[in-house]
Amino acid sequence: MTDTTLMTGRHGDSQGTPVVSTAGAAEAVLEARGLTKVYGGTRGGASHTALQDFDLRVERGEFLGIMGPSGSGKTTLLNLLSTIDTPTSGSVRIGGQDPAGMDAEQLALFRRRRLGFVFQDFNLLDTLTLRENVLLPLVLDRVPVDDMNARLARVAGTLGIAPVLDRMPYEVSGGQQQRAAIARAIVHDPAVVLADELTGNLDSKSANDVMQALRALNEEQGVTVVMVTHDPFAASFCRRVVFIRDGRAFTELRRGGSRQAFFQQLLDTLSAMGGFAS
Amino acid sequence: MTFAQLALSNLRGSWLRYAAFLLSSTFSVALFFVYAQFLFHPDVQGGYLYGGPVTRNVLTVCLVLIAVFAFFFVLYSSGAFLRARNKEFGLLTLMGTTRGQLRRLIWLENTFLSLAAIAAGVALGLLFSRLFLMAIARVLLIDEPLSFALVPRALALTACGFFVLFQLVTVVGAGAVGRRTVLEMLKEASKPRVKPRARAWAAVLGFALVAGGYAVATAVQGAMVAAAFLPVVTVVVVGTYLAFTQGSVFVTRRLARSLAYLRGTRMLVVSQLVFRLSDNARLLANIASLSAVVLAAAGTFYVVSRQYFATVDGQFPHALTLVETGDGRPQLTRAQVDALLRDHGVTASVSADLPLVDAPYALPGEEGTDWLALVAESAYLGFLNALEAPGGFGEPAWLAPVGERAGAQEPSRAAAFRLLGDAGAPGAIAARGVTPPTTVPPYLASTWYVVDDAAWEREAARLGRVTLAVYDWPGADRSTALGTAVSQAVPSESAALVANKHATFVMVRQTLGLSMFAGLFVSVLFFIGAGSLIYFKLFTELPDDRRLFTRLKRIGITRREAGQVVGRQVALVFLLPFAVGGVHALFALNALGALIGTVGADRAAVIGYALIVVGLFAAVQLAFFLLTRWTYLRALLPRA
Repeated sequence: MTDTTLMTGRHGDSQGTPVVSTAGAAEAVLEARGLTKVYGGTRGGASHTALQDFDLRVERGEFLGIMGPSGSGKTTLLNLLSTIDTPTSGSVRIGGQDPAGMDAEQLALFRRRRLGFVFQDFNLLDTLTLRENVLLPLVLDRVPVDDMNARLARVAGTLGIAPVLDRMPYEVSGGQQQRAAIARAIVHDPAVVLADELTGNLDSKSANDVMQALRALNEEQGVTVVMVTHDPFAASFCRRVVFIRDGRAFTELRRGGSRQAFFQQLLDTLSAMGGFAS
Repeated sequence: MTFAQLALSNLRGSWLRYAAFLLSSTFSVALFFVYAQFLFHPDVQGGYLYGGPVTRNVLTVCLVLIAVFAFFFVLYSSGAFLRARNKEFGLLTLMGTTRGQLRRLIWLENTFLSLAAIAAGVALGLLFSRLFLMAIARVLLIDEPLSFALVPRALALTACGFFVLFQLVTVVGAGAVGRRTVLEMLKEASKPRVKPRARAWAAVLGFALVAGGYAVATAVQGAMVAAAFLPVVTVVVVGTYLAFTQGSVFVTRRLARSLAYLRGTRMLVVSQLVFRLSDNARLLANIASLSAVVLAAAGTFYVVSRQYFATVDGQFPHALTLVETGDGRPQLTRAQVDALLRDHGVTASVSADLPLVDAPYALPGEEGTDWLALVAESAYLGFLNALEAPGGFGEPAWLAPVGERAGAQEPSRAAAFRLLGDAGAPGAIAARGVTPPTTVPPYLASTWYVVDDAAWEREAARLGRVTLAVYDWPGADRSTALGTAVSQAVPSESAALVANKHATFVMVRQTLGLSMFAGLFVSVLFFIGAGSLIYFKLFTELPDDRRLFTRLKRIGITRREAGQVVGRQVALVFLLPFAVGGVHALFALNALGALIGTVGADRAAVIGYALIVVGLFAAVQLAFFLLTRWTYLRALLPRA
């Protein structure tokens, strides 16, 4: 705790922080405590601490950004949160469940039902149409067809991909592919959507479209989003941004006024962290 | 570091990538070498082969087919291998490797690889042919049909032929690599896959052609089979090609539109199959048609040899018949046979004897003489009874005795009887022709006449008598110690006095053995080759599948589901061509049954035999598939 002196608004002392405006009772959908990940060092080799004693609390309906320079531990954190990797010590609870006790089979089902993923490289299957890609988590879970179509119509409308649903991924733009990937991430109502550099492969116009769509989902449908990025533009759509450096929490910012003002705040913090420009 | 060393260390460095190419090349070499060993074997060239020069010509054609098969196999795997390395070549070019150097690198690597493949292939081939010969001898209960030897001509042809082939393929491949730009090479891997389209009319035409071919093959009878053969085969081959290239895409795309598609892993299976089937359509269609040909050929051979065995079996209702001449020459006697039976602890199920008069006779109005055997009526009836053989007498005849019988070995000098049309002649004996109820040893006439007991005694006193003894015991058509002992007890100079079922079966097996070996051999080689081709083709798709399942795993697909998705695809790609080939072959063999039906054989039995052959290969192919699926899944989804 003492090593994160610059941090404000962490869950431990959030009650007293005036910038917080949590709606209703603060219900944590994702909670990480003392996460530490050490790589290597098992056979006398050099070990590397990618993440150390990291705490994080995400409440329902939050739109959280995680920023940090390359090698700061962002990706490690996301992998731990998404149950793809296991922590050396510490715990993660998602939607009240602890994935640590699950076997590979249960983990797969847990990811499929409780989590949504959006990746930098879209991760759409190139043998499936956009519609099929979006429906994939539901199809694997044998959801009735009527139910699937209703959910698809809802998310496709918000994300503006309804006209291109029957195209193959390579037939549409990067922005449309990423919006289809977002649709796939939320179509099964996950507890939280985890996004990894989702604007990294997009031009600025597409990035803007994608972020607008994600924000709309967050505001209109209450989708909880945790997004890792080093793009301050993308991060400026968040309501809270946690900064991470050298595997530790560095500080966090909450958005008060306009997005433009928040964007400037983010840039300032990044330059304060040093050696890290957009 | 010299350039050759760079090539070598390249080989060492990315060994796994080269292993697939090396394995498939080794395999082609081994396949060809084993076959060449067989074809150029002195025994085969020496004319020991059942069917003579025709069979040899067919086998030579097969060698050419295997060579063509091997050529495409190598060309194909080399192409896939070079394609997989495009990115590496792109990087090398980027770092300043000249086009010539790149070509030389590829040439050097491939030359190393081809030499290794030839050496390993020859070694593997020798091992394989030895094992196969041993297996054949075991299964057919015969001596090994060929002596095991290294045939220099086969070795030379394989080594030189494949060296030239590899060089040719390398030059083609290296030339193509040199022509592409850096950007093309670097981007090769990330080309999007365009969803294949199928023409509905072509798909429907394909299925209709196959169905039409089947209908004609089922409908034709008798001599028409031969006339219909070529048109039907052509139609079915074209139909199969269309069904695989157009029909498979058409069907999978149709499936993708059904509601059942959106359930569980089906969507993934079907959507991937669209690509996998259309990518491999030509290969699969070729394998389907070729396996039909091979299965039909193997089936035909099996049917013909079964028919042959059945014929031989019909000729030998009993295990052993022997003639005791009683003239003191060395021969197998009843006492010896009884002793052998006792020694081997075998109880004869039939043991009977019959005294006969062996005599020459002249045909009415003809100069030459022939031989007949006279049987006394009461003895004959007793003999029939002991054999539990059906009775019945043939046409009545009159036999006129005409003086002393000449020496047994000189039938032309005089006849003991003259066959008469009526009873007009003095002293003529009333006789009735009968069919011998057992195999008659070559020494004794198989034209038998039954006369009354008194007349028989008279003629026996005049011409002398011999005794025919019949034995039967269980398992006489198999190779048993008793059968071998009996065969060995027959003195070679009086082999004509004995009809030995066991010895005949051993001889037939031995004669058919080499041909059966050839037939089985070509089929087994083909199926192993075709199976391996699909196997290696599957493994070239492994990186794509790995990428896909990494993506699916992040979204949350269970191991079981992933296994299901891949397992079903592998099953279809692997088994579909063989299943189609098997069905083709069954229709072909059914038509063959119709053809054989015209020469008096049992059509139902032919279909039974066909089912046995196709079923046997299906079982082997299924085992091959299970192995393939297991290795593929292990490579794709390693246990964490």
